[in-house]
Amino acid sequence: MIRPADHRHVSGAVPVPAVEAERLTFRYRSGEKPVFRDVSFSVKQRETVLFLGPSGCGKSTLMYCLNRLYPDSVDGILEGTVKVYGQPVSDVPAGELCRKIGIVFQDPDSQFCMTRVDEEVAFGLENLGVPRSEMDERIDRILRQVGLAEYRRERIHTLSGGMKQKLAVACVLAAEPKILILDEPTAQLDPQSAREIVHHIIKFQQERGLTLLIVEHRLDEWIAHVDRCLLLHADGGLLDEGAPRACFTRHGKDLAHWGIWMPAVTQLTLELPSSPDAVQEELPVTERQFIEAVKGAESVTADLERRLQPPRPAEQPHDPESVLSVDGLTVRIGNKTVLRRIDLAFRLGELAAIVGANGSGKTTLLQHLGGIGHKSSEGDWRLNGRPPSDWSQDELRRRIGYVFQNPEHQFVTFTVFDEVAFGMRQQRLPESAVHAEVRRLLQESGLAGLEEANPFSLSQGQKRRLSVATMLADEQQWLLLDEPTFGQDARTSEQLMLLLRRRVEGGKAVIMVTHDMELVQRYADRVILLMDGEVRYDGAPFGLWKQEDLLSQSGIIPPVCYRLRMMLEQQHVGENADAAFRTVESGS
Amino acid sequence: MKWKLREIVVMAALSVVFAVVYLAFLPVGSLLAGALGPIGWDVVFGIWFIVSIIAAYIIRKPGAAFISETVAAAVEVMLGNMVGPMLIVSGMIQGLGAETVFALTRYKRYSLPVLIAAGMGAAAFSFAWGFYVSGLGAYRIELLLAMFAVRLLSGAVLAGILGKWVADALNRTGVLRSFAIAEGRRSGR
Amino acid sequence: MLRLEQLNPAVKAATIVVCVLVLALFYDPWTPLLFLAWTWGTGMLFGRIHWKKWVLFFPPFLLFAFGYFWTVALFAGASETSSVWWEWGWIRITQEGLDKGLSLGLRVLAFASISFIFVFTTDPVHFIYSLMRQCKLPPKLAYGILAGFRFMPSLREEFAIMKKAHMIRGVDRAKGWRERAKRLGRYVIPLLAAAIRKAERTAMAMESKGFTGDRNRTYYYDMKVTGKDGMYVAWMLVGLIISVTVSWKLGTLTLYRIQL
Repeated sequence: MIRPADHRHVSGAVPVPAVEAERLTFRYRSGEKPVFRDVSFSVKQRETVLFLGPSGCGKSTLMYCLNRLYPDSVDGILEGTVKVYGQPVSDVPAGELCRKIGIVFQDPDSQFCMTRVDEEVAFGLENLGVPRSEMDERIDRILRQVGLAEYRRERIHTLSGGMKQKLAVACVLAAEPKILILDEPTAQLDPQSAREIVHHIIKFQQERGLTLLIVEHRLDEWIAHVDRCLLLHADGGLLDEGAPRACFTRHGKDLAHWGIWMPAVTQLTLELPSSPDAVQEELPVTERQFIEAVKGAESVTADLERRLQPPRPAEQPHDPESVLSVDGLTVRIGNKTVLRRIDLAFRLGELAAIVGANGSGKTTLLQHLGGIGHKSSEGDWRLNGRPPSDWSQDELRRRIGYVFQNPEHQFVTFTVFDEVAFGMRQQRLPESAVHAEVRRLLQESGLAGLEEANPFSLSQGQKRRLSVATMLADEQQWLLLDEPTFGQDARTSEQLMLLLRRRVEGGKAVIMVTHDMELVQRYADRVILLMDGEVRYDGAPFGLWKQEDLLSQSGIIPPVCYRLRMMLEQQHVGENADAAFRTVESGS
Repeated sequence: MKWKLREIVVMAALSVVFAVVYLAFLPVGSLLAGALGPIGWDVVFGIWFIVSIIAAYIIRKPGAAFISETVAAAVEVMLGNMVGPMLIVSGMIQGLGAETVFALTRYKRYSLPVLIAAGMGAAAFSFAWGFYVSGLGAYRIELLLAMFAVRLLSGAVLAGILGKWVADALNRTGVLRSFAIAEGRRSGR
Repeated sequence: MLRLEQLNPAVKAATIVVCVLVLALFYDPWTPLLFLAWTWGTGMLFGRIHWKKWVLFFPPFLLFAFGYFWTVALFAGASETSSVWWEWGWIRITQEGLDKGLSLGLRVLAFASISFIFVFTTDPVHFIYSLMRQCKLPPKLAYGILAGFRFMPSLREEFAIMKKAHMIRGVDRAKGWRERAKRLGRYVIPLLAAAIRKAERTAMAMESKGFTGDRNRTYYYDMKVTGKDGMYVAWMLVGLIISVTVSWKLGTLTLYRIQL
């Protein structure tokens, strides 16, 4: 598969870099400030480079400039040169660039133009001018490589997010580019699908000798394969570059400040009080590196133990009558039984997490708890012992709040201020009180100054904060959230979770569906595992991590502190066994 | 003036959303027709031109009104509208009606009066087409004049005024940043 | 045996347009009635159309045709020579009015049935491809339309979620048409905004896969025009000619206000 022509080897000389960017500056025609300025870098063939930087620093824009998507698609001006295998991209005819550089985007739903899987793969082949007679065989081959061969005539919208991304990767690779740009490909996937996609891409890289340029926020899956990191700072200039460990060590604080997710191991190392100083000089980015650096220190093991079973503050006094419960809940959608005889009860003062594989029924359960579930369901739902018929919609909404995964779905007004004020106005509170409360909430959520802005014009993080602020405004006792930290940067996620914890400690209840086990470990009092519509675990997080069978069946990986704890333990056991063996040996 | 793929896909996306809106208006139309007779349809007829006004107002290129109505009609046919391919013909004609108005202003003016006129242009062309294809000519002249007037009004309001409102509201969400309409807003027009 | 599903969609569409344009010339009941029978027969014989589909989709058109018949009968503009059946204020029912009403009602049904044949026997994606090949529709328009078409299912899902989300915020308790209109507005803008964003990203993705709108490309669906298409066109034209001729022979053929 390797084409000699692309490499332009001059005998004995260094091979031509795959991508070279020289003094790139990009500006929107309408903007005064450039998005990024004077960025230069070079990527070697077969290298894997990770681009890091705060939100809004222009990483994605930079990527789009590499394969000429920008400035062509938008009204923008690009200065500087981009060279691919030594040839400026402006010299490459428009339809040919896809043979050199391919790009996979983050939204699984916005990368396709055709209805069926085979039509979409064919679309790429059509663009390349592949004769019709060759198409069928190539389509089959391409689909087989990503394990989608039997979905050939399926409609794309019936595929899961992970499968769609696999299809996207397959379609891009159909043109056989050697350079692949990945713009947050796993941002909208659950952890298991994310792992699969990373696995596939790395496999392709090894098979075809690909050069990878990656923009990602969740680094855990990628970091072991990354050769080099490039850090961009907020003004859009190049801050630093180097090997991952070096970059994280040098700029750990910056990264934390920017809210960039670090590999969980690195984050943990920074937080553990007992981390040996040597570790601070070269932060580990993988678990193996951590274990090596820590050298079996007892204090570390003890620390990890403490993290796994944190002492919870004494429960605030609250109304013992306040219970949200479902009894024998069974939900059938179509001919599939989504939930089977679920019996659960929730009390105030508790932060509960509902976890499980995709399709295990988590969102359905949450919706039913919130009173907006599917019409066809059996079983009892009670709040404070009273069935739904005993509650008016108004009363219910005043007690139970529900935050959707996509904040945009909930916006009902046209300004930020109105959005937060909406619930209070519906309750006919006096306008002066509303004003004061809204201003306070906006201040707390970091949205002050945006009162008149249209909710849709905000950034992702701001939208999320707005939807949460709106829910908080209504002061409901029960707050249900569907994947509240999905696609969020580290800073926003942490702020949100702290807010939720405060609510719970103040005597309210939070129930959330999540994929993030780190979050569950850190913040949840109770975790419920759903599998095929049944409750398979209900208790403290620490107990769940021990259930290896359940976890592997659900595709869930325990949080990093548990894994490290287990690895250290095994190491100890190994060492003790060694020592015992030696004692026995020397004794005899 | 070359059309960008982005502009076309956006027009198609608008069409899909409005295809649903059109479906919602069908029962309203038949109710009105049941109550008021044939003129009932003319009262709501304007909504069927709204896509051309919105697209022309957002994109501001020659041909926007015509192409968007055609695209909208094609999308509706694909979605299974029982009227079938004739929709595309009527869409083209309606689009042409709006397009004519924009052409007369040399594609430089997109103020409310122009948009209202475009809505009325589409209404006029669609009426002429209906005269032929639907046999509206069978009605007596007084009724025809009344229907024509009502359709013009409907085009003015449901396409022109409502179209501007929708596009302006969209503009405020910031999602139209890379289109001509945002430029107009920036330069204060 | 001729199967309607196998025919070239652009040809089928063009046939419909021609037939409609010709039929619209005539204002007598027999022409559309005969053509209606012809197309029904064609659909039964040559199409794999389940009778349930007819039953489901025809009634609204029957209703509309019936309504059309009555309104024309009541409000027709007729010449003075026509015999009057009944008169009351504005309403004047003449023989001519009844004939015209019948004709236009039947015309609606004739148009509907020939369109049904198209809609029930044509794959939408194939239709767009044949427009590209046969009618020279520019690829940018064609694939743009296809991309828009693809958004429909996700749009429906978004709408469903939005309804639930709005219910949570307590805005679903609207009564009266003014509130309902406001509610529709609350959905339409966010849906449009989401659709536009999706559209822009999709266009970028399409271009990143080498799409240039250049006609110099290959096609997955090879839409050809064959002899069968010619036969279909001839068949339908024959039906048209028969309908017109029979009506003429019966002495009923009417061209707008002119009796032939």
